[in-house]
Amino acid sequence: MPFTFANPLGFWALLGIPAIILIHFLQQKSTVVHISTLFLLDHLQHQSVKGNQFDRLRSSIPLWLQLLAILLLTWILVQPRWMKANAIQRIAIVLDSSASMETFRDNLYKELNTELRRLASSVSHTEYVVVDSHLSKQPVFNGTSRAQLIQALETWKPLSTAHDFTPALRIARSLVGAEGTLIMVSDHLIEDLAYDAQLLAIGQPTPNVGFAGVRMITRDDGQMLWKVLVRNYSDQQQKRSWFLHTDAQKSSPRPIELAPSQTRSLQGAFPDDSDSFTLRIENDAFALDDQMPLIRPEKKQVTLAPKLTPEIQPLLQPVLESLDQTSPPAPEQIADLFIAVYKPLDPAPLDKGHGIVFLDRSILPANYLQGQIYAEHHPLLENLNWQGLLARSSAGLPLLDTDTPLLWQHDRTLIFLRPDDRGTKLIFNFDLASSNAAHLPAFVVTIHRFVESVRRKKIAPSQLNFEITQVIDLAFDQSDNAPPLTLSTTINQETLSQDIPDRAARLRAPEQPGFFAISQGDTGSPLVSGAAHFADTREADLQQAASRNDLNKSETDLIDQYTEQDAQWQMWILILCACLLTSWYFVTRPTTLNAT
Amino acid sequence: MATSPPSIPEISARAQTFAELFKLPLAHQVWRGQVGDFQGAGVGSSLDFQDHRSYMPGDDPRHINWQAYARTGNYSMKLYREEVRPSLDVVLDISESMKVTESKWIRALELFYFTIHAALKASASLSVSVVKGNEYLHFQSDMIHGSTWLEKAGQLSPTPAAASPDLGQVPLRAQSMRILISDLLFSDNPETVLVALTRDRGRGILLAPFIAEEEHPLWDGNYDFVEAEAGTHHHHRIERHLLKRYYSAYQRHFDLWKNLARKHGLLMARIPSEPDFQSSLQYEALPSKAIEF
Repeated sequence: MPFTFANPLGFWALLGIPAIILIHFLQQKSTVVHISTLFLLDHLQHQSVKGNQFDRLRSSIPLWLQLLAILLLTWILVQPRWMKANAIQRIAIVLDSSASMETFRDNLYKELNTELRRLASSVSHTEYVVVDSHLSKQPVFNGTSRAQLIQALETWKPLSTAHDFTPALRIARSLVGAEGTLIMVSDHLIEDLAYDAQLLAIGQPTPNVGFAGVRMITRDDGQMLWKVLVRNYSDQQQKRSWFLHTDAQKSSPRPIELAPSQTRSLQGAFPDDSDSFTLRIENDAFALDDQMPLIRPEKKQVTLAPKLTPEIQPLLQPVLESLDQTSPPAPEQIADLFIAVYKPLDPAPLDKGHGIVFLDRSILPANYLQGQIYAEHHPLLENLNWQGLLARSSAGLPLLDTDTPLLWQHDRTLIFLRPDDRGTKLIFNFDLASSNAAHLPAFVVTIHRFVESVRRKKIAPSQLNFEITQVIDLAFDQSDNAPPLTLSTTINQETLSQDIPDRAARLRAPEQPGFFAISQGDTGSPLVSGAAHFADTREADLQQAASRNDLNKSETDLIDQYTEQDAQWQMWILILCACLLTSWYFVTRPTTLNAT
Repeated sequence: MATSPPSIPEISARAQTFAELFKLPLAHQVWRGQVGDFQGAGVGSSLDFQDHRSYMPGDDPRHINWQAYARTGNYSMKLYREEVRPSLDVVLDISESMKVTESKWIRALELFYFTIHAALKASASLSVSVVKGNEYLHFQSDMIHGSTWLEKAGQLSPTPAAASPDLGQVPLRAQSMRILISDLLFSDNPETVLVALTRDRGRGILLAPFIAEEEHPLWDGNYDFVEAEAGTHHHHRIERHLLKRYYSAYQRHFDLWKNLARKHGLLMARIPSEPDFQSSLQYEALPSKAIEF
């Protein structure tokens, strides 16, 4: 039955062996004696006539007794424990999938291998399960081989942003049970881990310089500029070089120097001959933010067909001009969004499709609407203040069961959504011309939001910049006979295309910086062409990375849990005492003998 | 062990005093030789009447017993005991083991001079030799009382460890009394020494000075033993059991010497070096009659 030692520090007691031998050497220093009867001694002691030091020590009973006492003392101090038969240790490891963990991958292999070997040494059989803290994937590993576990880690890629580990810890704890060992591996310190998890922090403060964000600026002349931020995540001055490259060309490297914790911006115009390019900065320990793929953003065009009365036209014209990427429809083309006027006293069916409808002022209402104004929880009105609205009491559209009210004043629905089989209409159910709505920011924002929602639902090509793993709100053909979506990624000049099997799932930008495109069928242009970049400054800042190992407590608990103590320890103590007493007797006994 | 040279005159003077108190057992032996104070083996001219016998032609007419002739008419001769001087050959072993301690060496010299003065007192014919291994020196009796002999003896070659003295070369007179002063710590068979000492019908006495450190050492632990004669170093660890065996070996060594000495008709006495001279003689010398009052 294998055994382990609960207190390996007890092996320091073995230092007593050389100490005792040294003491005996010093005590056994030879006394010089002139003798005339040496031939009598030589006859008695044929061996070791010259007698080296070890020969002399060999016959010392106190020495051997004291050495035995040291060995017994060491055995008692190291607390040998015998492993219980059929004991199975279960260890669950939750890997922090934050992107910063990639920097400390080597430490991860080394520390985890060391700690798991140590923990496994206490038990004859150990089962491992490794899960990603983001819980977006299958378990990284599930098995009994530590070597295979380490091998499985090589395919694991931490690319997430900062997130909560608690769900992963809960699941991991449920996998190993209350008596199992739960290890949270991260690159920074986490206090008070839930579910009795033990922290294994493997990070260390590391300087990093990288891109921290991007913004596109359209000048008045229509030229588009890019502006990126470069940040120094360290308390020391850093020097780097950066350059820009497209598929066809590459700029010369330019130096950039950043003071401690300084953020600087780089700005430039898009190349005339390319819609995309990549900014790169000199590589360092954290590589994700060392490149910034960018694409010239182009939103989907929304065609507008306004049919307004002269009373309303001047009120809405500034709002319509402020809408981005809108245009009138081509001849014979149905507009994406119509803007119409509804006459309650001369009602006519509303057009189908997406639209914005206002009431026509045929008769000036005499009274203002009374009562409290309150808004429903809806994305179109979120965080908007309509309390300043003054609207007159006039005839309006009756509310249908299928309508979605957005804004109320007492029992009057002021704004609501009305869906039909081709789209949704935003209906302002009060007289716009006699109200002050056109002067309210909430009115303009609501129209912008609705236009943007129509833009999102439009199936048309677009070019956008994303952060990695960012959710893509993509409009595509979801009919049963529609062709599948295809994702093409270009990372480090390598292009990979794959179908997206689950169209119902959320589409996300790739996990690594690069260009990508999502297309549906052979429609020519992809539905979206994007550039994904890393811009999580929390993950890029490695100054708070640290190392700490809380598994010592776990090891002690494991030993108590899976082993049993040496049942003979009382006997060893008695033998130890006997050795010491016997040694003491031999050392102190009188040496005088009576000659016969 | 190097010992400071003892004062020979002092020791000699002290030994002369001892010779007034003690004597050598010369009277128990029948001597031949020159006229002296001891009873000879033959007929002599002393006053001690020995026997009568008939006159033989050639006899000294001065010893005819005229009174007997007057009574019997026959010539008879009165025979008187012969008085001769005993011959004493003193041999001193001057090997380095005799000088292992100052007390042992002084005791050896005291015995040496005691035998000399005792011999002179008894008007014995004295012959003195010192022996060291295979070499010896013979001294006239007048040289012995100075320290010159000691200087000459010091020039003898060193001996191997525990080597016995070669008495075969030492001139010993026939039928003389031989006194060997030695610690007898030889690894060779004692027979060699005893046969050489008793050659030519010699008689003898063995006086063996010793020290307590030889007979009853209190060793315990590691020792760097320096052999007294060869000067070589020997490391030994002495444990209790080994010390016991040493005591036994030492005892057996001298038991062997005593038995063989008795076999060869020699007297043997071990003389301790630590007590005063008179006390040391009471240890074995007086009981064994190797030295007498």
